[in-house]
Amino acid sequence: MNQQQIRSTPLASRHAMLGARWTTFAGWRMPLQYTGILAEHRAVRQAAALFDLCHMGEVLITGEAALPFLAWSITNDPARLESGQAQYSCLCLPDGGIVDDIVIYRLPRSESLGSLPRWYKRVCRQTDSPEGEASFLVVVNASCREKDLSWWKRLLSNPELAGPDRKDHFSPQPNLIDASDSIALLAVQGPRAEEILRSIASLETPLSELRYFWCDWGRVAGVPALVARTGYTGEDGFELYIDVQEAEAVWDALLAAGSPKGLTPAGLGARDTLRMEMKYALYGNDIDESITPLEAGLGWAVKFQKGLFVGRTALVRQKIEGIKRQLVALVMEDHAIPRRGCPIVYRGKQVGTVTSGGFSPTLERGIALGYVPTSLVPVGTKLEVEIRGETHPARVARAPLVPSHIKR
Amino acid sequence: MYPEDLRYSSEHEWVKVEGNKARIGVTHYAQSELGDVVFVDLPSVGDTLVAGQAFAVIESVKSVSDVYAPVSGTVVAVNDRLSDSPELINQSPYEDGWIVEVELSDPSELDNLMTADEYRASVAGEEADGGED
Repeated sequence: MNQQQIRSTPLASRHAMLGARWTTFAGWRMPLQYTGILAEHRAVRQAAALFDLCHMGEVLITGEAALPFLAWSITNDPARLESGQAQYSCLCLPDGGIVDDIVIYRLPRSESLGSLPRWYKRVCRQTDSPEGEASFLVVVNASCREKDLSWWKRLLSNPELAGPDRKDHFSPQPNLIDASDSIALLAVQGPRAEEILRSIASLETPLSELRYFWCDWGRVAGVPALVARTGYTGEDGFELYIDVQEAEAVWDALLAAGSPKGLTPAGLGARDTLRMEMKYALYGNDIDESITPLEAGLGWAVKFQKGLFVGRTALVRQKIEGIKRQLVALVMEDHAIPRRGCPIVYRGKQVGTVTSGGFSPTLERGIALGYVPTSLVPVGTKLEVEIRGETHPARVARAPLVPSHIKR
Repeated sequence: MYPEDLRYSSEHEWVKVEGNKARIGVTHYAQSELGDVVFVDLPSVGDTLVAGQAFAVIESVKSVSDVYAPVSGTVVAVNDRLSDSPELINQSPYEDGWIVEVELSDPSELDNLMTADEYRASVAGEEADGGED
């Protein structure tokens, strides 16, 4: 990828002022760390941290057919969502391979239209639909944004692409709108996140009553926002979907309000170690089009009972025939640190490959995710990881590897 | 950041010469690029170092890096404190974070290394290139 194609977030100058070290991720120039990954990781586990997630993609799906179309094209069941509720799901190919893993928000109805962000009002105008009308905000991985949109559009125009899971007649056709460039996504994560956000936010429902995987419209530092109690760290926390023009103002206000309470900016380095400790899969590392949700341990996000959906036939067959390999979390038993690509070995034979690996700041040990044959999945199974030509002992561990503190 | 009495390699190691012995570590620039160091795979006393070849491995949270021998020699001392406190590489790269001490087998190799001024200039060039990973 050449320099012209590398994208920057609206907060790039803030990161530079904070002395960020940079990395390139999914075509975006992103902060890797500010002071250090260990300190930022610990801030999330013990206090709170602020993440710039503006690289993430946001697709709005609206119209009368939005719900049936989504329900058919993803593995989870959005019909179960109440207004203001969120859900994790996979988007699959007809063969069950994962196109992307996504979070869907069924957008809440609003009492006060003046408090809605421009990114939402614009979509309502574009699609000529009254505010609050059956709209879904779908958050997609930065690396999958174009691919997901084109897959959805091809499914609409070419339903036979779904093979045995074909379904026609979405009428009128749902609107698929890529709102990524007008939305800035900031995350505040950690045990003190609620206390910090409460001091500068006002929501239609009190922040303390917003449950895990629910969202509501409100204002943060006076700026209209969709405030969601979601995250990718295993801690309590919030994700804020605001207008891109307001990103710097909200970032500054959060740091000003949160710094006395231990809020620190955190980069993608800590985001990666935090999610590995939770065994949260990262698209492109642990899941991709060659892996099914059942193999990745995401069967809980596949709802066979809901009826026809893309990938259903293949996933049912895999379930009947048996899942041959599964994603496990490993904890090293010595000081070695496994990295992506290291062979996983059992009784002298390679049985898998590390898909994500690194140092767990909480356990102070190497940890890894990787696929192994189903017979080796039970917690406690002794395996080895080959690192620079030498094998090191590891054990299959119960996930999450450190206790999660999300608010159920 | 780059003491005058040391010699430097283009791979970001430093050498401190005392008689026919040399102490070796990594530079401030190297530790900053690595980020938090969490493990150091050390050689043993008696091992032979060959200039230009890897002799140790430094693991940071995000990556793994070889440490290349700036000079050839036989290892006469190893900084065992790094086993329990690898963060000394970040905190004190030129003092407490030294890695090994060798007996030089070819002192003329020292002429291939940079002075502090030369090294400072070469690092400034790398930083100007963007400092991306």
